[in-house]
Amino acid sequence: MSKQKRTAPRARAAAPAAPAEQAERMPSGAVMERRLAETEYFTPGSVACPGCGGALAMRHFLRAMGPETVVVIPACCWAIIAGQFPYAALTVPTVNCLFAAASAVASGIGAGLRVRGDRGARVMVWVGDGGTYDIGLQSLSGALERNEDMLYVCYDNEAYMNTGIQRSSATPPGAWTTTTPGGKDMAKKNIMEIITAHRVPYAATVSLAFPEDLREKVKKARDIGGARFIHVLAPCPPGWKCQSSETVKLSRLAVDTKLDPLYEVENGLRWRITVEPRNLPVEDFLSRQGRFSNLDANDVRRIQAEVDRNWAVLRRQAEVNPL
Amino acid sequence: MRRAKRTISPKRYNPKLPASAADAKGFRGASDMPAASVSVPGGSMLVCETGSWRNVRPVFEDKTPPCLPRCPAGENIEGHLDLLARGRDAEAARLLREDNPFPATCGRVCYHPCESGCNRAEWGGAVAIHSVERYLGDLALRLPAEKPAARAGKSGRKHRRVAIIGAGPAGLTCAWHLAKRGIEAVVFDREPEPGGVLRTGIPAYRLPKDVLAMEISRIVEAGVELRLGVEVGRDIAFEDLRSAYRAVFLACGYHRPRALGVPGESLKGVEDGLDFLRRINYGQKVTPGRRSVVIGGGNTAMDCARAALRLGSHPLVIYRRTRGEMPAIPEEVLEAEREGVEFLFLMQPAEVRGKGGRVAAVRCQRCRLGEPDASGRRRPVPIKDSFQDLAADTVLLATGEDADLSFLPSGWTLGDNGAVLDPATGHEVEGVFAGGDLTTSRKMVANAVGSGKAASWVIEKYLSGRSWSESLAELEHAPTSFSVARLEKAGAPPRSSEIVDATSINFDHFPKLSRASAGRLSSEEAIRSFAEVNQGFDRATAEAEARRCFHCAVCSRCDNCFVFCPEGIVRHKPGKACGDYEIDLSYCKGCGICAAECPRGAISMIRENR
Repeated sequence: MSKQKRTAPRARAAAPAAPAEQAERMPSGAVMERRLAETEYFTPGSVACPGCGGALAMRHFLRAMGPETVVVIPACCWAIIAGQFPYAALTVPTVNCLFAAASAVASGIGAGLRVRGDRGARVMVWVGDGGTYDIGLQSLSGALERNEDMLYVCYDNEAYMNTGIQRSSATPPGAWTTTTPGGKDMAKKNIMEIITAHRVPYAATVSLAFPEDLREKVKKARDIGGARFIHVLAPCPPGWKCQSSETVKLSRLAVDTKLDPLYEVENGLRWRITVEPRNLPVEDFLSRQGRFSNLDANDVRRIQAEVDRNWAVLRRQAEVNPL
Repeated sequence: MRRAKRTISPKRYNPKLPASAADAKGFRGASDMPAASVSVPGGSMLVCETGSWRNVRPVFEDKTPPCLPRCPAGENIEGHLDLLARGRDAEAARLLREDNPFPATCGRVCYHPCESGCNRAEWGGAVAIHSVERYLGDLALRLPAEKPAARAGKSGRKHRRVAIIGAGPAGLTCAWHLAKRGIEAVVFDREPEPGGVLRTGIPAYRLPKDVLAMEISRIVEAGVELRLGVEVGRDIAFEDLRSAYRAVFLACGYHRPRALGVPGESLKGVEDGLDFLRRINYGQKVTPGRRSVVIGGGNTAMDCARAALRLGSHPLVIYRRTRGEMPAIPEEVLEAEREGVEFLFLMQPAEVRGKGGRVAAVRCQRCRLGEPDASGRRRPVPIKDSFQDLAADTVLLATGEDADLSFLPSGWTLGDNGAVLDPATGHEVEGVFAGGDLTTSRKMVANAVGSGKAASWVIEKYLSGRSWSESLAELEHAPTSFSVARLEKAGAPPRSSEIVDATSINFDHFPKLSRASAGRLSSEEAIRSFAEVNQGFDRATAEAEARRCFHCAVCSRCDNCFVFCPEGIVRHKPGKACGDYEIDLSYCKGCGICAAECPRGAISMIRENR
C-alpha cells in the first residue's frame, strides 16, 4: 500500500460531465438560482422518516459525488434507511459494516480499488454522529493519520436516533434524550477541532439549507486526494421533536444562530468561513424543538454565551490563518 | 467472486423513466442474490411504496396575491412585474394594457390601494407598484397600437353598436375593450376634447396633457369612434341613442358642482373648483389673486390649491374635519404641504363676504368632531360663536360634485352594480348600463377604468345573444377587479381565490431590499410652472423594483421544492408551461418541506382522506 504524501489539495481526473438540463426554467423572483438537474443516485422508497435530514443530505452528496462512488455505511440510521439486504435505495455500490469499523473498511476498499487499478472510483464513508464522535472515533483517527483516500461524512443528528434517541457526545447541552431526560449537562464535542488536529487535506462543515455551499464543498472534497472530512447537521424530526416540515428551516437557523457555522479548513491550518450568519439569537433555533422545551431563560443564556465563545474562536482562526 | 464483481458495477437510477414498483425486480431465490453485502441492480427499494405513510399531501396551487383584488382596474400586477423582472419590458407593458388602456395615466394619478396589501411591507417596504405602472405605461405609449378586431358585416351593424355617454376613463375603457372584441363603440362627450376629468380636472403637473393625448389616441386607433361637442339631452335625445344603438353605457361622471349653501356664494371671485381647473387645463388666462381660499379636502381641493400656487397665489385650504378624514390621496396632501399650501382644519365656511360685488373674505366657523356619520368618518359639529374672517381674493369651491342625469327618462335610478332600474316596469332597463363615478364607491380614475371594463364585459355578453339579466349575472364572475387576460386566456393556470398573507411567505428566501422612490422636482422649482413634479422610474430602477416582488403564491419555478425534497420525488416536467413540477405521490411521505420552503406559498398541504 503506497503511503500518500500529505500535500496540498490536488485535482483528480475530471468527473464525468453532468447530463444536460431537462427543461428551461425561469427563476424570476427566486433569490437563489439553482440549476441542479443531474441524475439522482438515491431512489424513492427508502425507509427514512418523513422530513429526514440524513436522507436529504445523502441525496445532495451523491448528486455532487456522481456515479463513481462506493458508499460505506456502518451501524447508524442509514443502515436502516437504505433498505434491507438485498434491496437498496442507493444506485451506487454500498457496503454495510460494523459500527466501529467504517474507516477501516473504507481504507480496505480504497486499497482494493488501487490494487485493481481503479483510479476513478471514490470511497465515501457515511456515518452518523454516534459512529463518528463515539464508537468509530479510533478507527477514524487511524485512517486520518494514515491519510487514507476517502471522503468521510458525518451526518450529525445529535443522538443515537435509530435505536431510540440515546445521547451521544454530539448531543448539545440542554437537549432531552431518553438517556438525558432532564437535558444533557455536558457540552457537544467539537469534532472539527479533533479532525483538523490530524492536519487532513480538507475538512468542512455544510448545511442542508445552503445547497450551493454544500455542493461546492463536496465537489471540492471529491477531487482532492487523501483523507477529507465533511460534517453536516441532519435535523431529525422524531428525535428533535420538531415538525417534519422544518428540517431545512432548522438547518438554516442553526447556521444563522452561529450554532452550526459553515467553514472549510485546508491541511488543518487554513480556515475560511463560507457563509456569514445572520446572527440570530439561539432561542430562535431552540424554541422550535421539543427536545429543548425544558430549558429556562438561564439555560438559553448559557447556551448563547457558549455559542458566542465558539464563534469568536472560529472567527479568530479564520482571521489569523485565512485560507 | 465473479458475481460479486458484476454487481459492483455502478448503475444509475434514471428519474426520467417511470419509477414504480413494477420496475423493481424481485429475487427468485438465494441463487439470484449477490454474494457480498452490497447493493445490486434490480434490488431496488422502489418496491417499497412509502406514499402509504402519508396523511397530508402537497399540491401545487397558484393562489391570489394580495395586490390583485385590491386593484380597482383589475390589473394582473404580479404578471407584469414578473415579465419586467425578466427584462421582457415590452411584454409586460402589453400585459398591463390588456387590462387598462390608461396605464401611463393611472401610473400618475392612481391612489394605488394595491400597495397597501403588499406582503413586502415588512421587508423593505411595499413594492412601488404605482411607479412601475407609470414606467410600463410610458413604455406602452411607444409600442405599436393594438389592431382593431374584425367587425361584423354591415347587415348586423346595429346589433353590434354601442353608444357610450362620456369620454372619461370609464367610457373610453369600455369603448376600448369593446373595440378590441370587434364591437363598434361610439363615444359621445359634450367637451371639445376627450378625456373627461383627466383632461379638464387634473392639472398638468400631475398628468401632462401630451401623455393623456397619446394614451387616448391609442384608444382611438384601436377602433373607437369619438363624437365630441355633442351633449346628450341637448344635441341628441337619449331615446334616439337607444333606438340607434343596441346598448348604451352611461359614463358621464360627476360634473354638477354642489352648492355650498352659504350667503355670498354668488359674489364675483367665488368659483367652482372644477371650472377653475378646466379653464387652466384649456389654457385660458386665470388670475386667482394674492390669496385664494380653497374649500374642501378631496383631490379637487388639492389640485385647485397647487394650481393656484403655480399661478402666483397663496392658497389656503379649509377643511371641516381633520387631516385623517381627508378624502384626498395622502401623497397629494403631503406634496401640497411641501410646496407651501396652507391648511386650516376643523373650519367650515359660514358666509362669503364681499366688497363692491367682489369677494373680500370668508367668514368661517370652528368645528369639532362629533359622532361618525354614514361614511364612517366623524361628523364635524360647528362650535357656537367661534367665527373668524379670512381674507380672500378668490374662493374655490371643491366640496364635491353630483351627477347630472336630467337627460334620462324621469324616475330611472341607478343600481350599485351598474344596472339601471325603471320604476314604471320594476325591472332593469335592457341594454342600459351605468359606470364610472355614477356607480363606483370611490370616485377615482382606477375605479372608473374597472367599471368600464366590467361594463364592456356585460355588454359584450348581451350583444352575443344572452338576455340582459343573464348578462348582468356575469358580473358575479367578473367583478370590477378582474383581469381580462386571466378570464379570457385559455391555458392560464387555475388560480385559487385564497388571498395569501405574509404568513405564507418564507422570508428566508428573500433579501431585505428597500423600496425605491421616484425622483421629483424640488418644491421651489415645481411651483414655478405646470411641469410634471414626479420624475418617475428609469428602466433600471423599475426592473429592480419589479425584482423585489415576492410573486405571492404564484409558482416561479425557483426549484426550492425540487432541491429540498429529502426523497428526490419532486421532478421537472418536460415542457415549459407553468406548473413545471410533479410530485411522485407513490413515494411522497408528506413531510411538508416543499411547502415550508416554497418562498411564496404556492404549495398547499391538504389532508388525505384515508
